[in-house]
Amino acid sequence: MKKTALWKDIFREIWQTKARFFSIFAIIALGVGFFSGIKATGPNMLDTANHYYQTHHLMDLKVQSTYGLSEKEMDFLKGLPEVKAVEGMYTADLLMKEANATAKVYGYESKATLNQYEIVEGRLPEKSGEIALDDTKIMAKHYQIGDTLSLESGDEAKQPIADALKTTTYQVVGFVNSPQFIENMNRGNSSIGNGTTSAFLVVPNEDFNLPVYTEAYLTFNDTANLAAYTKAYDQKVTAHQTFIEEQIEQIGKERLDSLKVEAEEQIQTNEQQLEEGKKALADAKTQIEAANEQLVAGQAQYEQGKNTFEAGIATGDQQIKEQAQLLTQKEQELATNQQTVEAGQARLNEGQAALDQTKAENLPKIEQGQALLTQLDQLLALPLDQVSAAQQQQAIQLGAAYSPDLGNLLMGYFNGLMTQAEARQTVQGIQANLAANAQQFDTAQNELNTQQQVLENGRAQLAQGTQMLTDGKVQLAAARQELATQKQAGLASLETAKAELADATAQYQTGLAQYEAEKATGEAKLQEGEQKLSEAKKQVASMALPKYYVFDRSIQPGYLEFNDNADRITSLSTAFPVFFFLIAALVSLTTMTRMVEEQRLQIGTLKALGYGNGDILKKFLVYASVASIAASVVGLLVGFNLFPTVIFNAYSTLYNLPSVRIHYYASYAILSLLVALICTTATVFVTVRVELRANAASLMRPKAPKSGQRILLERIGFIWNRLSFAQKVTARNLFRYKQRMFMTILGVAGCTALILTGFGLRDSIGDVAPLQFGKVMQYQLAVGLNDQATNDEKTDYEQLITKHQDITGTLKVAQEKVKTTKKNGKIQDVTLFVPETAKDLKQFVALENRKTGKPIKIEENGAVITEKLAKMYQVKVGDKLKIVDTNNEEYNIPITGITENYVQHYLYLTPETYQTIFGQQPTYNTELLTYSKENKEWEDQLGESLLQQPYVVGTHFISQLSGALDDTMSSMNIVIMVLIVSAAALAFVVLYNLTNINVSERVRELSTIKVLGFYDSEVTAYIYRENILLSVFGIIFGLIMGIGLHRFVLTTAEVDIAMFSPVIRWWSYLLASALTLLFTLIVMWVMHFKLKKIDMIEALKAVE
Amino acid sequence: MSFIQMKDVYKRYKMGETTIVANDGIDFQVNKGEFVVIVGPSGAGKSTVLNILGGMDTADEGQVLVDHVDIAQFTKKELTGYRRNDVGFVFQFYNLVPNLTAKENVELASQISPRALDAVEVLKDVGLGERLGNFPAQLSGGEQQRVAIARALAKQPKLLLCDEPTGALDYNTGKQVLKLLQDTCRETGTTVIVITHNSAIAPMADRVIEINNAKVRKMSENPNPVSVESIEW
Repeated sequence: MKKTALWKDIFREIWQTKARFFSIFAIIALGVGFFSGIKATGPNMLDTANHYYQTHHLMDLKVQSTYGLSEKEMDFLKGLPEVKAVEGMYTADLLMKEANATAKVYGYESKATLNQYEIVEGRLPEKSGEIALDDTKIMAKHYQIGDTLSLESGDEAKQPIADALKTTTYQVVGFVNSPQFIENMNRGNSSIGNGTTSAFLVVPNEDFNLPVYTEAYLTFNDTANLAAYTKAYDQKVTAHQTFIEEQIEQIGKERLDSLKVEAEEQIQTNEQQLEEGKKALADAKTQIEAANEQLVAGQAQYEQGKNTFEAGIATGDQQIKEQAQLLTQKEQELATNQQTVEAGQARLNEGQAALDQTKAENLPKIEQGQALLTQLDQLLALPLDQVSAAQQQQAIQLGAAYSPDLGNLLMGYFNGLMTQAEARQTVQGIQANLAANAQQFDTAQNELNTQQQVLENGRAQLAQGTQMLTDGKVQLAAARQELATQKQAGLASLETAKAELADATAQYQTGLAQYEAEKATGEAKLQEGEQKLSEAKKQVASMALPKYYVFDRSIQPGYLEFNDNADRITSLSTAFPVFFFLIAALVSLTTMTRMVEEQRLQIGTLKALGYGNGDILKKFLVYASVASIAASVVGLLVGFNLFPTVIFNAYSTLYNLPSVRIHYYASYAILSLLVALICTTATVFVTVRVELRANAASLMRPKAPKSGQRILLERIGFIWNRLSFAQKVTARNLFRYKQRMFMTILGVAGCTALILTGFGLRDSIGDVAPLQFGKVMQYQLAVGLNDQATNDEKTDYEQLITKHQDITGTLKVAQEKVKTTKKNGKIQDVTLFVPETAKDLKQFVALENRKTGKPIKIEENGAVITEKLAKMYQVKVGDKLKIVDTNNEEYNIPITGITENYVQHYLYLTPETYQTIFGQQPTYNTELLTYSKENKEWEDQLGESLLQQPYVVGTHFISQLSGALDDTMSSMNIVIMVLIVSAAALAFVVLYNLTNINVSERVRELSTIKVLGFYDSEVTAYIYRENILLSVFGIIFGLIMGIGLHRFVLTTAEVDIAMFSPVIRWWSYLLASALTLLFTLIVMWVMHFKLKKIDMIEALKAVE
Repeated sequence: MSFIQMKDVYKRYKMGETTIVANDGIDFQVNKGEFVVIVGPSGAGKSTVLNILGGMDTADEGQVLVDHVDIAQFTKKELTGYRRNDVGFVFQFYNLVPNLTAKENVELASQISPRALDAVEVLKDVGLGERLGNFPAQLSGGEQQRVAIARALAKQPKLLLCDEPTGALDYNTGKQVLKLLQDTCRETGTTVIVITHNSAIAPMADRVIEINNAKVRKMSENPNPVSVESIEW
């Protein structure tokens, strides 16, 4: 049996009542979507984070030590049970010059598997000198790929950058995210700069110059498949953490020993070096002295040389001069000699000439005489007889010619006067005379000749002398030349020597200067070295065991906070969407009920036609099911995608996680589908079943119109009579449709409550930061102090603080972490807070009752605890709270006051009480400061100068803390906006639906008044007066409901360590009311057009 | 000069593909103070005439002169004003506001009308002086229709239009209602137009207009209308 007509009717019904179908659809879709979406958001957020951690192999634990991590520790870690991977990491805190900010530099090795970076842009460093940067706005502002980044040490004197890095300038090659830093802003604290790390940087391992790793990362096999943020994961990791903490201490001793040995070796080397340095210095001294001596000797030598040279030259000169003189003398002498010779010659020549003349004159006479004489002799020799008188005459003539004497002689002889012999003798005598005369000539000649010879000798001698002189002159010239050359050469070499000497002097001077300088620094260094050495010795002596720190992921900025945020969304999803869904369900229930009522006649007709109850029911069940299933599907699809995405994106300003991973949770899908079906299909089923009990005839008869009724108000004459006619009509109408009135009020109230809760949450969460850091914590800076610091260091610090004029107050405080005992499976961390002078505390921390604002004093015999802690442990004033210190000793502390506080748990004690309870003096490890300046630059400067103090271990600026909280709040704002927008959408649909029902139920009445001549606006006003009134009731009721819902959501959304301010601001009430009213008005405006279109003729024709 | 003149009035309804002509050149006049009965079978176009005349519907063509004003040219708002001030309606199913008492139902009309009579007086006039505070559900059909008439009369309309006023009433009650309408016409001089498919009541009218198949088939003036009591059907 086909019932096609029935099916046609079902689908035509849907088509014809599009508006109603759609409104049910919309409301269910909204409810389902919101419920499933919000429910899925928290798990999706955590899953997204976990997936990110797992794909990037985020470490489970991080180990650090006060001495870094050597192979010893690494070997130990590698040998741990269940350990999957252990990797060492070099890190260094350094300053970025260009950005003027502090960075934590990480080593990178391509084969490293843990904490892998996510490349946002560019690439990771591949070779020395390359760097990848943290993908943050600050970094992007200062650097681009290709830029140069320079690093410097925070304190070059104490920690030279070369100790950490080989290279200090890098080329930017990429921007990356790290699973260690899912937060956008926070990079943790630093011991340099202003105390806050701004970014992480990644450089190749080869650029590091560290002897040991600074951090070690571990993952474990048994946690590899566990999702982060789950209990199972946390338990496993905590177990490993505890195990390592317990076991690694053994390594500590060994490490210390080896460190000591190393240090001693180092000291020895240093000592040696020092000695060497000393020796070098001494050597240098000796050298310089030797140099000096040499120089002096050189100088002397030079002087001597110079003297010798000069003397030599002088002697040479002198000699030459003498020689010259001598030569001149000789020359003169020679000239004189020459003259003498010449004169001699001349005389000789004269003599010769005279001789020659005499000779010439006499010789022939002599010879004639001779010859005559000879002849005479010969004639004389003959006896006289023999000699003819001719001959005689001749001989007498001849003789007489020769000399009259001779002639006389001869005449005498021939005349015989004289004997022959006598004559002869006389002749012979004459002849001998003559020969003697001739001989005389020869002698003279001889003498002349001898003289000539002498002269010749003299001349030869002269020539020789001249020759010699010439030679002497030549020699002299040569000597002169030689001397000049020698002098020049001597001078030149002297000059060279001088120059060399000057050079040597200069060299010596520089050497000396250098030496002096080196000596100064060297001595200083030596001194320093000695000091260092002695310090090092002392240090080695006092070297403590290495302290090991085993951190789980919670140390990572944002890691836990992200969980908190996800949890917050999850806890929001417990109350908010349920309430939301309830309203949706309620309204769809009303709509379906109305539908059944409208279809009464048709139910009767179908029944009359003989259709069974099942068939009749089918129509409504199909209608409702189609609407709710289609709506659920759409709602689930949209909800599962939209809400996690929107909320996650809201958090993306805080976290640099990849986009959200959408999951479809069958549990939420089934749950919401079931509720949707119950609200629509089940409602229809019940309502139709009720109707079906009646018989066909009565069903076909119009249901007797609901009678008008006098309302209670009419009996209160003085009010009723004062009402205008329209108001009376409105008043009575309100009570006539009680169900609709109830639904409208509830719907509007629900929406108002949702919106108010949204705004209220924003107030409460937004108030936390200003309340905690403005009202409660009134100090501006907490300075962590090193209790091991020396007195000098402390004094330095105190002076710095006193000098700062802007610092208006200081208070030393002892802070200590203790724990509470277990409550509801959880242990709370409590900060023991002991001000040095309790009466000064109020300037720094306001202790007061939140409700009354009455100040609370820390009593002598007990503690003041914070409100949330008191609430969690249900402690009242006069009760005792049990706390456990780090040595696991329990103390019962009487509570004398409960103070307003919003973040973390504190337990305030006076020093005296502390002493009484713990039996020791509190250690003041923190100083709280207040100051009059408000700007960040000033704070940065202050932070920087404080961190340079050895007494200071850290700075915590309230402005930074509250800034971080503000960020969380602003992302929370977006989440709340999502809630508000959803609530608003719901409000709109609910109001539209209810108004729609109202109008369709009363279309006949509305047509009547239209026919009676009511203008459009009057018709609208006629019906809207009720709506506005109901809305107002709804809003008032909703505000009350909202307060409750807000409180409920707050308590579920609250994390253990925080208390939200339960106060909703007045303007949130106003805004929630105004928004609801606005939606009411928008709906009315839309409905106004619908009302205008009502066909009065059709409406009036029909039988009701 | 006639008080009401319908001149060549056409009204067509589009029902999907087909066009239904409800009034096909309707043409008639009514004088002031007349008691007019429009008769004709179901679907003849009577109600359309009445709706146009009452300003609840508009003519596609032709003139509808009421007191020398062509209401066919009125805007929606003017029509509402016309309904408010000049026309009183009585429907087959009374159309009382169920949440208002008899008196309040009358007030609903009287409070928006400038020439309105006192609601209580009008109700007394229609014989419901005792039932002022009753809700419609507490009244019989005749009484409800009387409340409806009172509501229509309270504003002293120029024109009282009644669409099958007795359709949902029993014989006697129907007669009483017709009597009330006739008396009103006679006593107040209000022009009354009654639509009915019951031609038996035609003799009580001053003027009878027969409409059939969207046209006026016959219009006759009755110089001697009889009292409704004398008519039997």
